[in-house]
Amino acid sequence: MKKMNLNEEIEKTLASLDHVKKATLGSDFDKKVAQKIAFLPKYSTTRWLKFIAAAMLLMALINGILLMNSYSNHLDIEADLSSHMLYQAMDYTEFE
Amino acid sequence: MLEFEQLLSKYKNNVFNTCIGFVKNLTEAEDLSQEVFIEVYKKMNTFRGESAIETWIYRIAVNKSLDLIRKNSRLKRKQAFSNTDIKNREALDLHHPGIVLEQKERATILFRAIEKLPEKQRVAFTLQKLEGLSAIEIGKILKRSSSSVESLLFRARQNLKKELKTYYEKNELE
Repeated sequence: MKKMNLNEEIEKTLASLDHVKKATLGSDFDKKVAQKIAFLPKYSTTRWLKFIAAAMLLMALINGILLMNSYSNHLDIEADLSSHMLYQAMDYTEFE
Repeated sequence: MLEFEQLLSKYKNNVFNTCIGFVKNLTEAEDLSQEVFIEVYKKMNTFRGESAIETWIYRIAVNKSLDLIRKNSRLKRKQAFSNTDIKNREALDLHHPGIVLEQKERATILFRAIEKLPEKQRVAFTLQKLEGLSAIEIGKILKRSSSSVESLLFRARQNLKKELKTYYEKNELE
């Protein structure tokens, strides 16, 4: 008898949320959402972060290109210098 | 695609009811519904239409509700360390306008049992009971097959029965 009561009670409790009436929001809800939307920042933080990251990447790329250029110029100068020195050395040997 | 205002007026009550089902508090549910629509507004342009817009909005509502529940339970755990009087805070404060007074006691007991369910079971059961969604609709929200949702619902019911049995045995039926 007690077990029957228990099962009955469980079933009744499980059914207590059947046919629950739907709650409705007040008319001011739309206004509240509109107000919050109006205060949203135009540009989000993530958008700014993406912009900064892109700018930094671009700067790194430009720096890289400049470095490569100056290095190749340096190599050219070095090559010129060494050939010049070799030429001079050859000149000296001719005097001797 | 529908304009934001149209979406708001069409789905606001569905979102509100979904949120109440999870947080069981009118004020929190209303704040949460506002957050849901702000998210909808922000992400409307990136919505790719892979699912129905209704499913997408429900998904945002469910995720936001679960985030709040997780945040609240973390807060409860923190408070539990600093205060030993947990019993009062654990008492469920049910404010669901759709639940009639004579069912309130039973509904509170059921909600308390629902809170103990694993997350997916809890979501599936709440959406079915309070929103009246079908297994197919719930499956679209949870990105699962309808058969998997049916099995979630079955397990949820079994677990709830166990939990309620323990509760009634402890609290002695009259």
